[in-house]
Amino acid sequence: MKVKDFFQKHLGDLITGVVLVSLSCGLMAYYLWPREVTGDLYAFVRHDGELVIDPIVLSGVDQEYTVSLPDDGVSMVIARENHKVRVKSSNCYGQECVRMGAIQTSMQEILCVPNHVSITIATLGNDDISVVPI
Amino acid sequence: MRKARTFSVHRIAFLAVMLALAILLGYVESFIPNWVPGVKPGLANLVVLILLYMFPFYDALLISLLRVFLVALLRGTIFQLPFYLSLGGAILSFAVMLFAKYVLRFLTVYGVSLLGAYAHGLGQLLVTAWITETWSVFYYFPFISLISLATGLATAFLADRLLQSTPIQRLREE
Repeated sequence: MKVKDFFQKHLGDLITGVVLVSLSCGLMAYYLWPREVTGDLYAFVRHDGELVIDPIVLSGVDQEYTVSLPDDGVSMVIARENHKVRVKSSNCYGQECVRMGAIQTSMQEILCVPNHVSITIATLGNDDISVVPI
Repeated sequence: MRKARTFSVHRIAFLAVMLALAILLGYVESFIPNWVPGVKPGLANLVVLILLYMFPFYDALLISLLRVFLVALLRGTIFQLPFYLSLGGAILSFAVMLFAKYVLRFLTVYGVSLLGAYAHGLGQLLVTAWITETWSVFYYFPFISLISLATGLATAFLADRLLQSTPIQRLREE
């Protein structure tokens, strides 16, 4: 009886919870689902939606790239290691971009919100959501 | 004749205590490390949720906004990035909870809290998207929202227990 009362009282809450969890899981599947990629993958480094360095091809040898924008107070080092990219160092507070680790597949992203910098992975000419600035 | 708005001493004292509690929870929360960027447990939402069920909505809104300002002031981040993220989350979360409470009448405090927690993460990501000028920040949304739903459920459980407690019931009857 108690269980029946509980379900009667919280049916709306349960439906809401299920809808929200389904929405999150659906979005997660969309982002994490493996995609067929033709051509090399590149890392696009953007500041305020504008590319600040040439796209970094992931298949290259290990190398470091410096992003320095003195007018905006941005100083970051981005490393390509084992066909992945990561932020090696950054002058932002919090250092969340450094802690995010390396990315290597399309749709993944590293964000440095204090520096307004985003790093996304895509193929050249790809016009999916991950490379479309606002 | 226009009726003057009256405040009982109990009500003012209770709102002050709730504001202090919201600031304390928000301040403590700000020191919890982020496992996923932007994810916070949303402890201060507990206070807003309780106020939404006890007082007119503008009291809850006032406490919610004051909390964002005062925590930012305490941390020295006023009008900086964490302040805007917090404000974005608080405003959207409040708007959604208000809608849920007054329009979606079939929801209890649990449903309202879940929607508020979900909207909080969404609000923060919208501010992040506006700052970084890219929609791709929504890559994080599924992770943030799932954690938010868990914290929203915990917040709702606490709020439900507190709203049924004797002192709060007595205050509601006044």
